[in-house]
Amino acid sequence: MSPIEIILWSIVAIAPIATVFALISILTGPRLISKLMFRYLVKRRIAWVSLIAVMLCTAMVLIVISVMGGWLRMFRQTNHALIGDLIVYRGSLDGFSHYEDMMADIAKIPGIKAVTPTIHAVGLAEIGLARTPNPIRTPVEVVGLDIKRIGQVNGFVDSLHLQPDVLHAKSKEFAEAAQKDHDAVSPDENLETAEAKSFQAKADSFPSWQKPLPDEVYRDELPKAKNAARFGGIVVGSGVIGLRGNDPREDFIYKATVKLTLLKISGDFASADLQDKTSTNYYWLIDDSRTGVYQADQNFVYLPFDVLQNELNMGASTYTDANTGHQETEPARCTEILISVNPGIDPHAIKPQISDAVSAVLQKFGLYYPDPGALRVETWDEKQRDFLSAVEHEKSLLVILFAIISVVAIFLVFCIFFMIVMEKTRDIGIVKSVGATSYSIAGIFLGYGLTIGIFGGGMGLLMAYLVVHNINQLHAWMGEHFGIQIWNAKTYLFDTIPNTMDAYDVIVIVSVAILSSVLGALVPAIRAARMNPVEALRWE
Amino acid sequence: MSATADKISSPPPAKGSAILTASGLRKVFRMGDSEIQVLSKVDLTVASGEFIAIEGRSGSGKSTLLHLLGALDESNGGVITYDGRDIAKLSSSRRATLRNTQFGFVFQFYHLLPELNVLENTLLSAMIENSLLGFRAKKAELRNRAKDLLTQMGMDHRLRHRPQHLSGGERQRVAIARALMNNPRVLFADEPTGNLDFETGRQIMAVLERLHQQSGQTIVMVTHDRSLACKADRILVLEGGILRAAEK
Ligand SMILES: Nc1ncnc2c1ncn2[C@@H]1O[C@H](COP(=O)(O)OP(=O)(O)OP(=O)(O)O)[C@@H](O)[C@H]1O
Ligand SMILES: [Mg+2]
Repeated sequence: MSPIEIILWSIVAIAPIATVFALISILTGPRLISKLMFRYLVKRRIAWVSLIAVMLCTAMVLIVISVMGGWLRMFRQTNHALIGDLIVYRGSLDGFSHYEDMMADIAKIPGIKAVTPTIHAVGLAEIGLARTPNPIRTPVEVVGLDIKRIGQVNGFVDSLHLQPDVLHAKSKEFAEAAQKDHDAVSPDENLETAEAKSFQAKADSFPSWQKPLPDEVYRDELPKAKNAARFGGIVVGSGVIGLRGNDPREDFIYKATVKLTLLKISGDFASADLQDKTSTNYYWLIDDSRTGVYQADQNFVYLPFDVLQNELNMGASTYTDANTGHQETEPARCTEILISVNPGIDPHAIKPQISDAVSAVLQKFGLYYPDPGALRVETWDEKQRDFLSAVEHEKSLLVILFAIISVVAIFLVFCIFFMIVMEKTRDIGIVKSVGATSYSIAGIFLGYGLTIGIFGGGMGLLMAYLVVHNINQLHAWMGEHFGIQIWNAKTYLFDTIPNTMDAYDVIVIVSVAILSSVLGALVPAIRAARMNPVEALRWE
Repeated sequence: MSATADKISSPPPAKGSAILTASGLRKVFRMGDSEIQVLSKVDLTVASGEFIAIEGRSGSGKSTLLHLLGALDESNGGVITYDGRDIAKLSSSRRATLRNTQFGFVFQFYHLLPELNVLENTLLSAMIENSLLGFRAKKAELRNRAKDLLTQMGMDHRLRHRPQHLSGGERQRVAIARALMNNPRVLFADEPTGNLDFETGRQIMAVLERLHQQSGQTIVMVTHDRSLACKADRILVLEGGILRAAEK
């Protein structure tokens, strides 16, 4: 340990000792200690300055740590929910084959809950929202997934807007409208009945790719297209269609057509076959997904796994080899396998078994994916490690900031207490002349510091609690009245500011505030204790 | 830390026996390079129940002597004994206990705590002697004693007042009540009337005299007023760092 570290650690050790000393003095020492301590607290307004300083420092650190910590937790949670527990992936969009064999072997590993393949591809989406003349034209990352299985692996299903309860509510709404129109003998009744039914059917099949509206609605929307009702469904990230946060979804969103142009990528880079490089198809927008991960919500659109696989020609196919004349089978490909584990199982612990299973399949079929683009098995946090470590760094920066703030608080308490001790010099002489020991005098000022720490820390906690719990409203209010927008969804990935406090953080920070106050009072307390009573009495 | 545990308990000496003695007492103040010898060789014996007045010109070292006798300060030579024990050999907390339970101080400038009211100021030594719980247990008893003392001093109607709202004479009465709270064996008074007008000073003096006569309180009083000194049993004069007896 360096000398500086030794000094720092001894300061850290002294604070709790002084606190315990103060507590013992108050409880078992002379009655005068608690009496004078509280009198000074109430009568000396200057002490309130230190109280407020401790309060503000505590509140500030608590707020920052809570928001930061909450953000980190949300960040981890949403990233975890986006991926699942583990992922097998290639750093190349042409993906890998024999994934079904891999999945079968992985599924056999004890502790594995579910396994599902996905495909990531790039495309251009042209989204024609009803009522808007120009379509949204935007590059997207197209994700192919098995909606019936993905729910067991990650949080995609929960990210959908049209949850069963929403669908039920809509169905009911239409049913009631139909009833009204029936009574009014209006021709709208039939359509409304059909709508009520189709929403109900979607709710019953949830989660599914089923379209929420009846065929006639789609036909009405695109009268020129002959087979409009046969277009498949597509789910888009909420940000792709400009939905932010908890924007109310208008029904017209689900009458949008998505013209998706996909870029096909052949596994054979050297073939230079430039034909069939894109495929274009129309879909109905059937739902939007809000995972909370900004990049995903801004860029991802979702299709059924086999639809996307077929579009990209990544499905299994047979062909005749031109040289040998043999019938060959081209195996199906995907770009990643997502894996979830049973509760209580550590993804990191199970990873080697998954790697072994994957390697065994690669070996069996003589597959070889060299770097870059090697086939990797990673846990979700390894996949996101660059991001996570950047955030970790920010956190250590915060800890340093916290240390500086504590020093400021300690120094403030120190200055004010020094002043109070000076001011009270004669009182100290009086009390000593009446028989108080030096320990009792130290006890008075340490106890004073302790009360300031407890009250200041407590009030800081209360203040932080109020601020943190109302932080989103406060932020909105600030935005409205002063045009201040600190929280930017682009930088912080989430559109709401985390508003929870962690019990562990609270305990640590409030304790540090209390210890800091005692530490700040320590030197003045020692000075007061060592004072010569006669000189103190002579003090003018 | 509890004063009760250290309480010096000894049977009260018979009236007339020496309880406090000083011999060859020397006190020097250092200010940078120069030294001021305030007391050079002071000898004194205070008998139980005695009322001693110490006279001397301003700056002669009367207060200094009183602080030494009252275990508030340390000498540079000589011995002070209380009840036959050398007080220089006591630990600082034992000396604090001595001040708390055996001695009482009355100062020229009253020295009351501005944050406490009259009753609380009077209870000061009891609040030092007793712990939080101990004080609670005896609260009624202690408060009654404090009120009694304040009644004796004619201050019972101002219990809740703060010192800054009292006159000088009233403050000094409270200070005397405070000094008597723990039943001290020796009461030290450092020019108790020095800051008061003649009439008020006479009243305070009458209080001390009554204490001495009615309850045999041992008093060591410092004054430079001959007419006040005359009320004491014995008058001593401090001059040139030496204490000598004086004619009444
Ligand atoms: N802490 C100190 N440092 C230096 N000199 C001191 C100190 N205390 C007292 N003295 C000096 O000692 C001398 C005696 O002081 P002391 O206060 O005992 O006098 P006194 O007899 O009580 O005077 P008075 O009647 O004015 O109260 C004075 O000359 C004073 O300047
Ligand atoms: Mg004096």
